[in-house]
Amino acid sequence: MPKLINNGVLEENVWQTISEPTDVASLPEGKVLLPLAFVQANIDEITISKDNLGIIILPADAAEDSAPLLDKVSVVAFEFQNFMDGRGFSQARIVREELGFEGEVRATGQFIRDQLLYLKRCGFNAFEFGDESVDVEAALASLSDFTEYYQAGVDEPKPLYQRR
Amino acid sequence: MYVYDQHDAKILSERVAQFRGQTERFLAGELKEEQFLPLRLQNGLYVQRLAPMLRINVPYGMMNSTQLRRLAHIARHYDKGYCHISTRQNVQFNWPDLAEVPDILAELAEVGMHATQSSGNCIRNTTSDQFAGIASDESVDPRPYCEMIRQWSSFHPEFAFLPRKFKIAVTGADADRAAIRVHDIGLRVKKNDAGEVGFQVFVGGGLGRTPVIGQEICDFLPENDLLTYLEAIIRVYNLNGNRQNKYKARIKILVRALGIDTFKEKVTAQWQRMKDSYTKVPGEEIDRLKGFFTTPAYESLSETDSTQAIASFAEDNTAFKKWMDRNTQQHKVAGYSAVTLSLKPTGVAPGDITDSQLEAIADLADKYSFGEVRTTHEQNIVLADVKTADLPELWQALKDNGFATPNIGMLTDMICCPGGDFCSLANAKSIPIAEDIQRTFDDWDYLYDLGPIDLNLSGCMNACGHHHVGNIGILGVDKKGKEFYQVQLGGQAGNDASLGKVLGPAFTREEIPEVIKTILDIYVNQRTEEEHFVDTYQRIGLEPFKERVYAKAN
Ligand code: HEM
Ligand code: SF4
Repeated sequence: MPKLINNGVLEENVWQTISEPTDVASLPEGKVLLPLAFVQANIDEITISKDNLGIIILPADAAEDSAPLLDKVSVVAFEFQNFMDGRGFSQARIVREELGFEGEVRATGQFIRDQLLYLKRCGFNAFEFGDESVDVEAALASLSDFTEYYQAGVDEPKPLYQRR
Repeated sequence: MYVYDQHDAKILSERVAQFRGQTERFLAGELKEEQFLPLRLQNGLYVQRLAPMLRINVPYGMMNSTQLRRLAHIARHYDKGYCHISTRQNVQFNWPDLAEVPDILAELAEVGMHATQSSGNCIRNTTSDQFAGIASDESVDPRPYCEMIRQWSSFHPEFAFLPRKFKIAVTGADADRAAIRVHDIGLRVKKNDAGEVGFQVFVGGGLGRTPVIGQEICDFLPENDLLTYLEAIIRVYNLNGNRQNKYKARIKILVRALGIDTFKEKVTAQWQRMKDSYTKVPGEEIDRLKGFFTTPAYESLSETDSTQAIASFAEDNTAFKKWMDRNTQQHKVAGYSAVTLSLKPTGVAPGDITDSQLEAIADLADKYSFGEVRTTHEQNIVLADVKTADLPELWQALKDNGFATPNIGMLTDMICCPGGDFCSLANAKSIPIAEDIQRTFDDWDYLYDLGPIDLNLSGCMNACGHHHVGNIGILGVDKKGKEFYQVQLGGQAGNDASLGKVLGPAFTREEIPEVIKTILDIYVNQRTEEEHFVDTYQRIGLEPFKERVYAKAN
């Protein structure tokens, strides 16, 4: 199973991503990440416990739409389809800062190592590289490229001037 | 001027180390070309026709003499002995070696300079009025706010992968010298009737392929709310901007597609949710930033005494008088003047400057202007705080170094992009056209009689040379592999920002000087006393110009 960076350490990824679920009955056992639209449409039938349920928000989704679901899931994953598409950075801040989600916020797909720190600052705490060739251990180092920041972020809400 | 403390220095050195690592990974084949691309761009590095181009930020155009000397050193040791002042007040090197760029950045970091976010799809260097803080028509000094934006936008984690680049300009004066209406966000800082400071905010301006004049989105935004409001605008843009087609990706296209009212509704809704976040700037921080832009130790001088002191010199010396009329500017402090050094002598690419010239400017800045200079978006350099009584002496020194061409604001003080000589996107050369025009119009009496005219030149529709907002704009176009030039008339960049109109079919390089001559003849014949070129154009319209130019051509 591919490695995952979770809160700064390497872990096995115990979640299954179901990108195109057909119906609730055929969902597998265990921890599953399901598309936001699917969970929205089937919320009354889904009986998966909070510990085992996560949603996947796509770049074109409105992150605010996840609001009614956030107390029913323990992971919100944002899928990066192309690392140049930075919508996930704003979407994660909305989920973290505006909707107050405190569980795992995961980046999946085609982001790159050099984005890890900015992703973390936007509220991501888990990283699942879509590219299997990434040296995840080496990538960890990029999380500490900077130790000081000018502006408020999810990880450090106080701007630098409050520490000067 | 803002002074880096240990925090700024630390962030910068961490950035240099980060980019050094990225460059090494790229050179070792560990980082793919397309992945390295945005990383190098956000460190100022383009790959160009002949070599990489490195763009160094000059935050809102302010530099000190130490920084100038460091640029001179870099030009000498890592480049071919010169650099270039850009139309967004930055400095560009045309010939650095990719493997040496981390060393260059480390040298810059030592003097508090960097190339962070000077290109790429992120928030770029904030630009401003080159006369900020000294202009007599200014109500609020924009620089503390520029610095506030610089710090907030530098390494902003959310906005490093926007749909497209994002440029902000700020002015605090009545006359807009920062071209705020052709920026993604343009800010005018002002005071309301109660004496409170706030911003008039314009959004969705820009040049490039689809030139658009920015529209007002807010008429008075309290100063404490500036950053949260910018964050709201850019978040709406980040989430909704076009990501399929890079030619439709700028915020101007989004604003136009939604309409300013709908766009404003979205921004307001977003802002309501974040306006009281940690990003809201308290008054104490604004005061702290203001503390960096205090007035230098001006002597208390009398304006009349100062003017009298140089009056006789000016009387005996018409060249000096002409230079003073064109290249110096009134200062809000009695007995002081702002001096613009022309980087537009005939035969030099507009905005180019050599290593030894940079050092000469550093020395002059130390001697005459509190050790500081400013770059202008017209690609010149300003010594902002010169004692008026020192002008004769300074003029001599400027002449010796090639900076005293008395053409500021005149036809030959052109804005010009690097064009086909350097740029891989070019349709046509631009620097040689600028030179043709300078050589054709070499009669000073004629130029002065013409009065102020902005002539702007770009080598392709990306419009780096701002041709849309030149009173006369020249655009290089490609027709079946040959270079041609389209002429536009009537553009303006300031308060009455407007886009030029195309005169008609494009011309060859050889035809251009004659075409410009004809256009100027019509102006001279039709103008009323006191009318500048644009005024006459606005009164009589494009037709008379078109008729004569093409009648002649046929
Ligand atoms: C030589 C390498 C250069 C390249 C490859 C380049 C590329 C571009 C491109 C592609 C655009 C259009 C962007 C858009 O519409 O989104 C642009 C715009 C611009 N560039 Fe350059 N440029 C170069 C040099 C310069 C220089 C030397 C200057 C200043 C003298 C400059 C200043 C600008 C400005 C002011 C704009 C207009 C911004 C706007 O559209 O609002 N560029 N450039
Ligand atoms: S206007 Fe075109 S030719 Fe000129 S620098 Fe910009 S991209 Fe290059």
